[in-house]
Amino acid sequence: MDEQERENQFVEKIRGFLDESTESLNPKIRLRLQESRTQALKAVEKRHAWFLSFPQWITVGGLATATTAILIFFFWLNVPSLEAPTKQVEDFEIITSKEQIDFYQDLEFFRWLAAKENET
Amino acid sequence: MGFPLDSRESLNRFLADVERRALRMAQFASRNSDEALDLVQEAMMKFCERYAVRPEGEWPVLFYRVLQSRIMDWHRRNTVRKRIFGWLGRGHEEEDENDPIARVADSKTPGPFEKTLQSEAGAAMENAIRSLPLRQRQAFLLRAWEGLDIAQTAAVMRCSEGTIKTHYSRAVSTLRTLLEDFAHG
Repeated sequence: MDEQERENQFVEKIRGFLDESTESLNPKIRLRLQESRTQALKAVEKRHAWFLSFPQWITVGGLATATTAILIFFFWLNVPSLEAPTKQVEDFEIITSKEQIDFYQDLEFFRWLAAKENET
Repeated sequence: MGFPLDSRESLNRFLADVERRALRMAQFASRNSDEALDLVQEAMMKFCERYAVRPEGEWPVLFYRVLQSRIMDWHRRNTVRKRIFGWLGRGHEEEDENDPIARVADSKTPGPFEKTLQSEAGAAMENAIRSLPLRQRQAFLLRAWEGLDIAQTAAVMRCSEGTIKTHYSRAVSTLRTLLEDFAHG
């Protein structure tokens, strides 16, 4: 028998002793272990129930919050500006914009066209 | 809606399977049945709170990790308490006072557990295991008794696999020396 086998046998003996000692625990200790287990299981059930109830109210609350946020954002975008439309920079952009000049030129043309039609 | 019935049953079976071994491990560390029962109860509660939802295969490592952590905390608190009592001159006054193993010898009607311990071999093994340093004893019990592999034991004890090998080998060597008669018997 080699050293490893001897060690394994020795460890096996100790394991046997330890197993025997757990099988013969006195009833009071067994009862307390059972009570501890029951308490632990009750605690986990309680905790689980709380977790399950959590999404129900958070879903309703979250939905309400999201709806309110969307409405606020929507109204904020559509509120007419109270600022005067004569800011210098904006005016400058309007004056220098090529599209605007074309528009006024076209406007002249449409006036002339309308006058011609009236004459006829 | 409560915890799923299947999970509850699995958890109950698992705890019922490990509780006695857990208790013995805690008894070896605390040398007191009441303290050991408290340690196991705390470990069960903590384990259930934190890890009940984890896959069943991970439960043994996680449970023993919690238990070993509780035992280490207890050991630290106890060491501090003993030092304080030592300074106050109360020394070993309360050591073994409530130790069921110490009470066994006085019991007139020993139960099967006490009988196991009272047998010559049982008492020798009990004392030998108790005499091991805490970390060596933890490594030995987790490896040899609980059947965890080196990596799992290292995860439970929060140390390297090399350290586990060293602790285990020293524990076996010490036990073989202390239990020489039984080692060759």
